[in-house]
Amino acid sequence: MLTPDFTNLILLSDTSITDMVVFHEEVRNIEASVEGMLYPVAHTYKQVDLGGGAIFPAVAFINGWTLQFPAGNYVISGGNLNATINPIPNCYVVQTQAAAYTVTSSGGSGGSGALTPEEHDTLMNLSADTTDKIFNKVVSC
Amino acid sequence: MAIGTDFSINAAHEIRHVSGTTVYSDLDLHKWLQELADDALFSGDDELDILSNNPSKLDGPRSAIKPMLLNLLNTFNIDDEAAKFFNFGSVQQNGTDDLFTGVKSIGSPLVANSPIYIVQDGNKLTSFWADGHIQIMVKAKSGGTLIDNGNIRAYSRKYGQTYADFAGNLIAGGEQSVALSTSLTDWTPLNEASVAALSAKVAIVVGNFTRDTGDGNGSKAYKGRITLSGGITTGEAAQYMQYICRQDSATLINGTEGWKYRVLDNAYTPNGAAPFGAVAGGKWFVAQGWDLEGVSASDQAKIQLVSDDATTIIYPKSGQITIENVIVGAYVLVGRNSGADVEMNEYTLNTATTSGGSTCKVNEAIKIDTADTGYIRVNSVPYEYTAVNRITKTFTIVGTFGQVHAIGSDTWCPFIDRIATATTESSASFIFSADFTARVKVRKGASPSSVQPAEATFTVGSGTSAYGVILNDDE
Repeated sequence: MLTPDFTNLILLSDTSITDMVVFHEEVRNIEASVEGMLYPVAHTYKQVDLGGGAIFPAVAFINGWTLQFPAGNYVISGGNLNATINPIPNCYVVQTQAAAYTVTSSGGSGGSGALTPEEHDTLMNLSADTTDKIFNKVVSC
Repeated sequence: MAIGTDFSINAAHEIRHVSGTTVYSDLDLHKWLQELADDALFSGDDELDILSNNPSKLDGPRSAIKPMLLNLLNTFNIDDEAAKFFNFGSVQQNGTDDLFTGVKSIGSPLVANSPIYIVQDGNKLTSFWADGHIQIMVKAKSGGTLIDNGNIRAYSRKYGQTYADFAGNLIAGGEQSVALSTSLTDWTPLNEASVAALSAKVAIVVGNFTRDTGDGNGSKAYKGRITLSGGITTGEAAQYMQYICRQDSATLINGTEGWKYRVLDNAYTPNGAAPFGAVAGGKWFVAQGWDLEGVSASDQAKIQLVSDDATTIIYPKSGQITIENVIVGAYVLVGRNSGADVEMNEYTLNTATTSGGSTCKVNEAIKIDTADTGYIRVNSVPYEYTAVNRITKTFTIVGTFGQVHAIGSDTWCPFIDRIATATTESSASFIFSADFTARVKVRKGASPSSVQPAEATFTVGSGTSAYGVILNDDE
């Protein structure tokens, strides 16, 4: 469950984020809520069509928003997430993301994370096996 | 001495004008009388010599550069006709029973040869002076009785010029100044014949009237109404009203002849230059207390009224905000731009709301361009209001407050604050006051599909201010 702290611009998640599309939609709902309309947009979103119905989603937090989990073990996967994760005692987050694909976190609103032609070609030409090999594993706490 | 030729003095000590047009000072009169009084024997028609009683004396030191207060003694006297040929001071005679006091007009600018007339005791004095600034004597006291307590009022009212009037009091004698200035009016292009022909299109009624122009001041009382008809414009009407106050106008206005009409109610401040108000910048600033009926819609912006209670009244322009290219289901929020966001602290709560209550009162004056119905956020919580009392600064919301909002809570009125049900969303109509910058936010969540948030600022003017947002799919 994702809960906004509008005053401090923090999105509080009490579960792992394993589907970046769903996560993005939840954030959009918060942004477009009655109260959320009064605050800055929290993120930008971009997805790349990988063919065969597959997409690669990427989310970047903007306007000072940060992400926070309570104490526990969490996973961030299913796409790229560029966000500051607030340090919380006894909180461990494993983040998996593609180094070849990022979404810019600059700008005030809307998605602006278009791939460069080179990035797009690189991503589209990778096989599933090789894709796994270039993913980074990041541990946050 | 020429004065001796122009005047005679008979055995009854009557000093009378017999010839000439020269106007002499009161000091000249005194000098002439004293010169005659030391003659051994009178000659001609001036029956005054050393054997006569002293004919005159001055109050105060003699001066050729100051108005003199001359006393005619021992039954020596001038009559009204003779008085026309003396000035620069006053003449008192028959003891203190009769007094002619000097009146001098001053003031600049004065259009060359602006005619000036004097009103005394409700009557216009017959002019014996040339146009332009005047220096004359006016009878202030006769047979021991002051005429209208010594009061006079000097006017200059020539159509095509600004009018002027100034009150004076003659009791003190000497020479009293009245300040008058005139200038040409560029808002009276119609000649007198043309403007006189407008009379059938203007009706003037004095009485109690009310009008609410919708400018936020509510219904206001007026003490007279000018009804326009026959397609007359407000600019033409203003000229006609000025025309009927000209120097020779016999038109009765509230029982007063136009040539001396000044104001509808003595409690009002008169507009000396234009008793019904002047036109400036194409707008007729109508004098206080007068309501205008029959003003065409296109002319409503060209008038300004002042109600009986001195409130400035206009016909307001309306304004409305329309956001175009919206997606159904998207949240649309429009407020005043604070610079970085919408302005969320327009007002502060005067008293805490009560759970179950339906009104909230704010401290600040409610902005004139806040609509009569619309949206209000208290502590960021959205409500809709159905009424606003601008005098008590109170909003009445739909339903009731479900919570207590503390005193001092930030309160503001978005122009639009709702989920779009169509591709165009409009605010309630409001009274346009002045251009301002608005900020629009359009966001849509994931059901059924989200869009990239859009946010922009735009200028809101009178009429409909439309802004088309650009919404892109979230992909």
